[in-house]
Amino acid sequence: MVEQLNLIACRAIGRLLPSLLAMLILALPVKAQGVSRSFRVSAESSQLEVINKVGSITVGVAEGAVITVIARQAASSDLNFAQPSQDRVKVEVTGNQAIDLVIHVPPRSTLNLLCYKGPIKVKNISGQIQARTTEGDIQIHQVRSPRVEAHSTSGNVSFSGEILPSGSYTLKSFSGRVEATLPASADFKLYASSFRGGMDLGGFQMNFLKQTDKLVEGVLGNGRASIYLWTQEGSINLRRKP
Amino acid sequence: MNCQIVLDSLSNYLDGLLLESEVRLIEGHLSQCPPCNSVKLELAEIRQAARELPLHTPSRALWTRIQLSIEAERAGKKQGAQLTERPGWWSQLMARRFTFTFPQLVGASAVAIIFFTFGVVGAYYQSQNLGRSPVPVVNQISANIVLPGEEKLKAEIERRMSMLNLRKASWDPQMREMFETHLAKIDQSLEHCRQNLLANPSDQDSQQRVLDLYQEKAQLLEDFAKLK
Amino acid sequence: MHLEQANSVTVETTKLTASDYDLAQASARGEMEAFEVLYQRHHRRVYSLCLRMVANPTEAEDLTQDVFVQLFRKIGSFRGESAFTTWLHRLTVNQVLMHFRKRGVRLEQTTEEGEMKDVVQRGSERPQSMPVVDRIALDRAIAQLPPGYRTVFVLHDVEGYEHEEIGQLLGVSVGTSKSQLHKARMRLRELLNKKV
Repeated sequence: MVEQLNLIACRAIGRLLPSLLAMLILALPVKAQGVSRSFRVSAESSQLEVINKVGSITVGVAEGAVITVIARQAASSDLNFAQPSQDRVKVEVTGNQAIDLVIHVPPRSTLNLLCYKGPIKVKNISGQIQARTTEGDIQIHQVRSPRVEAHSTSGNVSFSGEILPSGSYTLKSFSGRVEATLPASADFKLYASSFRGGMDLGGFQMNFLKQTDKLVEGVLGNGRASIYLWTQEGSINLRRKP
Repeated sequence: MNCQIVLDSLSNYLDGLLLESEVRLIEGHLSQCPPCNSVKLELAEIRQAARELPLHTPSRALWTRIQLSIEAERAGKKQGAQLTERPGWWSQLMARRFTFTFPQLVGASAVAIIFFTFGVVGAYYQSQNLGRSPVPVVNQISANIVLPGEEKLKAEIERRMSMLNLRKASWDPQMREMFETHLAKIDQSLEHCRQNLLANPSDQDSQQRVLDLYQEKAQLLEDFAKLK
Repeated sequence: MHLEQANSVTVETTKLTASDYDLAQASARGEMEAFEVLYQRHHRRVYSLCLRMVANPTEAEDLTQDVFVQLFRKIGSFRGESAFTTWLHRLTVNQVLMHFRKRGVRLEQTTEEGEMKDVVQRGSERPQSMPVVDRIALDRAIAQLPPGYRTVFVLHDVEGYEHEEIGQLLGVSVGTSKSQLHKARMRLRELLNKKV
């Protein structure tokens, strides 16, 4: 009788054990493994839009006609992906958790990046770039874009790259520093305005149209491109690329 | 061919508007007359340079002015459509058709009495104060400086603010705090720059700075309008 | 779809690469984002044209505002038969000319002090012609021209209009347009040489 009871108990435990173990594993806090997605696009006219709330957006150049998105700390439910047409990819972080996005795109892509609390970094791109963050630095480097708009409310904004004829480059920060490193031979019209931070124009030999301690307007060469640098609290630094 | 005739024809020559025979005569003269040839070269330079002139950039506030002007026009059209549906007080006035209720008549009489009293008292005080320092009057005028497009910008900011106030409660607390902090900082700068402007109302840089700060505020509101 | 709230960003990026015609169509449907992209694309050309014609930044900004407000009203009538820029520039020129008429600017006048003589003294010329014209200096010199000369010069040499078109726009003969242009160029040469 006792043996029979033991046998029944053992069988019951044997059957229930895998389910119990499974429940135990599911109940443990699961660390997200990260999300990675790729989208095939055209190399010439791809467009990427990203919205992140907390965390960084880093964009670099992909090998080939593909956009790849990697979010290491994220679970797939944290992100929404959409490809409404062959060349357009949209990425949005849905919750408020911190997620860093690392994205690679074809070099000529048009970028529209919006972040609320986090930095934005873009490198080696030759398409149009629009980058906006409330809290965080914006770094746009080694680009060859016809149009750049970078605007941070409280972070520093820095830019380096080529200045194309008829290009338009707007770098703004409310309380941060604005820096631009430009080729010595660049041809542009400059408007630079800093209320509190002072200005260093890096020795560019411009034809000054206006020059006060808070505002400078000047022309270098034929003034074909337009450069607009603005900050309320921070400083403005222009540097010549050696 | 004398120099004056050649000089008078140089523009038409450069623009290719002359007959072949005229071109030959002009070129013949130019090859032997360095002063005329020098003028030709200079005009050609000017003609070429005119096609490659740099572009100018208007102030940053211009788009906002345009946008607000269009919006005001659209709103005006809507309002106009409504006005044609129902005769307003103006059309009633023009048609000389007046119907007043008793409380309306009482209210109107009270307003008239108040205006009359203030008018008399105000006029008396003004006559007493004549000859005193004009400073407070100047300050009062300065405080009323309105920059071009400022009223519309402020109205647009108000509109966005009231929309956000309805939605703010549903935001994540850290987002709400971030928004409030930056908004307060921009408002503080705006106030400071407004004071600077009052000290020097005709300074165009101070005027632009105030408008730029309105833009900064409008941008912050626009971004947070997209936040869920 | 979570991304629906990001529509404004979506629209902006898409429209950055859309054609002027598509943007004009979208603007005619009342889409301000599309109109903003058109503004961003063309406002510097429009403003520069206004500035060169009126030679006053404040007036030029007011005129640019009028042009874009007018453009928004009329954009539905753009059918894409001509280039959008040609259409927009004609609208701008008309707006500036209307402004001149309102202000009573007489375009037929030659100079403030009357006719100008294009005399070249033999031997008084500089041995070499002026160096490559400084574009900024030329821009400043244009602003110093009398309104009649300036208008014809800007329309012909900067904007590329033909004399026939200029004649129609200004209500003058082709001959007058040609002669105004020549005098404008000679005056510019004089102004630039003074500077040098």
